Amino acid sequence: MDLEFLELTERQARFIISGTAPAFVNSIRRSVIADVQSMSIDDVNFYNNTSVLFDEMLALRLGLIPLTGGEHYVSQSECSCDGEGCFQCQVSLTLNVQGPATVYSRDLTSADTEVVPADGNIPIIKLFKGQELLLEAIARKGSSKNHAKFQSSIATSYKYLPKFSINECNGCKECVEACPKHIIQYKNRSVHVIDELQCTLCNLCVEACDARAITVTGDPQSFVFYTESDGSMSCKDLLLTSVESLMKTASELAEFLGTFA
Amino acid sequence: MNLKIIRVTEDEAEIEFLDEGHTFLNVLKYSLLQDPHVESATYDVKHPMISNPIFHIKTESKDPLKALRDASLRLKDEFETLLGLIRLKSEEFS
Amino acid sequence: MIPVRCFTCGAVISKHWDQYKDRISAGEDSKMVLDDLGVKRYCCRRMLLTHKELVDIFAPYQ
Repeated sequence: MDLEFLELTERQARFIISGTAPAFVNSIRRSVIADVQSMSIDDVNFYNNTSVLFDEMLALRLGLIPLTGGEHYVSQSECSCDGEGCFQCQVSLTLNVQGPATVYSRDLTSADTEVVPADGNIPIIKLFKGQELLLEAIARKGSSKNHAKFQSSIATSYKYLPKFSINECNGCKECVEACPKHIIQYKNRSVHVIDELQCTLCNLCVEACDARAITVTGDPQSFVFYTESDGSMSCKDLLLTSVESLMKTASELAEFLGTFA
Repeated sequence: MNLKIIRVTEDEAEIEFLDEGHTFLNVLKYSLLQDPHVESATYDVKHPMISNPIFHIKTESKDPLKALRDASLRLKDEFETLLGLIRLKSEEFS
Repeated sequence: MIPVRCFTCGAVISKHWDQYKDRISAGEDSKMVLDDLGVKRYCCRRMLLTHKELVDIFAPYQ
């Protein structure tokens, strides 16, 4: 197995993983989507809301704001407080704004300086003159199996590594026109692929070629993996947490079966 | 790891996994099939929301639970390698 | 108000709204602005592209 990063920032990661199988990569994809827990606003107490949106709509908007730094928290159902709510499983964020003003996610004041909105410039509601918003929001740790707001990863996907072979090109340039990603170019009496990785394996170039000179195949042992983070954790941590959870499951099973052997 | 062993014979086993889904079981199936002693390995989820997946293994001249253990150990190693690779290559990349 | 996240993929797109709105009203081309903001997928692009802000119209009817 080998791995090569093509892109790695806090919010985006793209890498080639080779020498493995679709089942293996798919388990990583599923794990990145569903096995990583994060903090989100889960309960909101409204003390005053004279804005144009109902309490419920504001609560829904607040819930979708990604929150950073939830590593040290546990989910309430597994907490030692038995679901009562304590400093280990929940954070209180308060919001107090008088109009006229637009309320942004940065206006939320958190009890924990690490658990704050990942982006400060998310508009929550526009308040007009005389309108007021006063609320307390409770953020909890949760899994995306229960609600999509707890999902840290976005657009997690993988594809086979595209491989082109071009021989006996007759220079008709049909494929150059056909490629939706514009990655085929005509040069020196033959066509060339400029960026293989961009290919989506749509096979339109193969169909367009009357001379049957192009073949596009996906390498079933190499994959281009892509994921994005909503800001609640870095992409690297996202990958590490999910692979760790898979490794834990595998070693737990081996350990359990070891008691039989 | 929460599971129920429903049936084990010399060359067959049936196991119900109580808190695993496709994420782990599909890759476990793949890992089992790498073993030349495993004749068949698959799992079935009767109803996607209300039932637990049941894993079936059929082996030839090998204890099915031993095959399962070997398969999960192989997976553990692979995930460990990947973990190391992510750590190493992300350091190199930045 | 602009939806916080993209309906399809869940990316936070509302953080781009203020800048998008300002640049569009300054006469910039929406394609260029979206590319510049890094909104790549068409599911996210349509969220900003097709949004109609209604709070100002609702304001008097509190």
